[in-house]
Amino acid sequence: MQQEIRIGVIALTDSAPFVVAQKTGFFEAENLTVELVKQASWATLRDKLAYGEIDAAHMLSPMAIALQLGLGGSPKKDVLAPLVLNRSGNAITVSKALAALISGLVEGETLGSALRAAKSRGERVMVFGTVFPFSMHTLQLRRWLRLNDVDPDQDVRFEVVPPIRMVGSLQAGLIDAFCVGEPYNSLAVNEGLGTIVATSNGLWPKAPEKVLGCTRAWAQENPEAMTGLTNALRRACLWLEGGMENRSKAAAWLSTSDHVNLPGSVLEMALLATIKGGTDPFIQFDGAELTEDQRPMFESLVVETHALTSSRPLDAIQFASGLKPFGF
Amino acid sequence: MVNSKTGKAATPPLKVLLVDEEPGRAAILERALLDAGYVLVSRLSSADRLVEHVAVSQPDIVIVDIDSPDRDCLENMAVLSRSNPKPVIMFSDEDNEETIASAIKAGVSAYVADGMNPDRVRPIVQVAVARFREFQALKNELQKTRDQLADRKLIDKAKGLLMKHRNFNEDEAYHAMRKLAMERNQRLVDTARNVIEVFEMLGGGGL
Repeated sequence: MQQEIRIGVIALTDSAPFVVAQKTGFFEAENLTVELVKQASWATLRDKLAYGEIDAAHMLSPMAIALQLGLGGSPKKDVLAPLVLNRSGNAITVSKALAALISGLVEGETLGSALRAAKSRGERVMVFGTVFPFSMHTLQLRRWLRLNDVDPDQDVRFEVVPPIRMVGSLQAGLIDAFCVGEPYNSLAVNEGLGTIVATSNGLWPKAPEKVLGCTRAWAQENPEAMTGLTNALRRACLWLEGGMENRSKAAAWLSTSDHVNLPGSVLEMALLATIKGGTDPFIQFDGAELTEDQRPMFESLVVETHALTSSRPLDAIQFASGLKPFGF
Repeated sequence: MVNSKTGKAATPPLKVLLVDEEPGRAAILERALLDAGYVLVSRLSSADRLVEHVAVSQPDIVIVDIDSPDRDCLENMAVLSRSNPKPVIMFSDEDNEETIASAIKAGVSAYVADGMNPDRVRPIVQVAVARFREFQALKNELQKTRDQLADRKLIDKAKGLLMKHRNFNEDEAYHAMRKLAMERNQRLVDTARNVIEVFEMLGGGGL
């Protein structure tokens, strides 16, 4: 018997595992009839999952923690995130002006000290674009800022900008830098608007970028569908790691209007291209089961996600609860 | 100002900001909220500069169409409460999950100023949910009428083809299609579509 399930996705390159599982029949092979439902925002995807309008979702990994702990106005729900769909894949791009400021720093000066000096002169505070408050993008920007002696809570401002508007916002001067997945970093560089200063893999090797998310209640009521879903997506991730031909096919599927709706050439750039002299494609799909050796990485993820909304340290109960979605 | 619904005079009316790309729906909701005695700060048809707008107008509650892509920008204000004079948080009334679930189903999302009493906010969310539902019902009704009209046009076209090429009168043409539809277990409009396709294939489609 085929079971019908609805999966919420955001129209991004890394929604590829869902589209691939659909197009290759991996879902069907698991007796699943899947409807991929494009969501207009991360907030809406989260709410629809929390209240059962969708059964599973393409989710930012920090969002699973925000849901589990009810952070930042998020609904509080027991969730599961059994699969990391892709790892890393983001980069930080700064405007030409900010790049010039960084390269002009003199001995003893840091980006942080320069920004604080500018602030005390009454100059405008720099704005950093991210895709959602609870995202790897935000956490990666904060890591990069700290490495450059910048206090992410005091010295700069964060603004949420949908990926598709990142390059335009940088050009219009609405933001001074951004962290986003490909192809938007490369596009900004190609158009002479920005400089890539860091890749997510450099800041946080193998960072869990997007996960499969569902509520624990749904998983418990639908154990077979849950197993089928993880099997199909794991196969799709392996397929995406199975060579350039597969990636090209995925780019074509994604480029249609019911998915990402961007030209195939742009998606090929995102799925096939390397970045900053690398040899492997920038975006890496995963889908493997989470193993105990990854616990420290997820512990950092919980701590850094919690710190987005509170300057107080995380208590032991919250810490343990934050790890639960990932099975630790 | 006395709130006609509660009869209480003490508390000032709430300032509501409405963000909806459907001007018709927004107008209906605005009317309903005004009638209920709430102060409407403003109505935005696009979420452009939404964050700026919220910072300046400081509404007590923001009602947003759930499918607005700019919801994520508001979420940012919820998290970065330290940097905002009057942070907004998502309305997640834990005492009344039903209200939230029905809001999401109806396509309503709401943000409230931090510290707002949920009892004051809940009625506004409920009014919004009711109006959104009403609007959706109207839209469905309109779509149904449009579909029926389109069906009627196809059936008439197929009838016309049968009358012209098979020398049927109108009644005979209709009954022939009706019979075919029953035999094939089809809707009449689908049979009409098939009839048109067949004649077009034969080159007789141009009436």
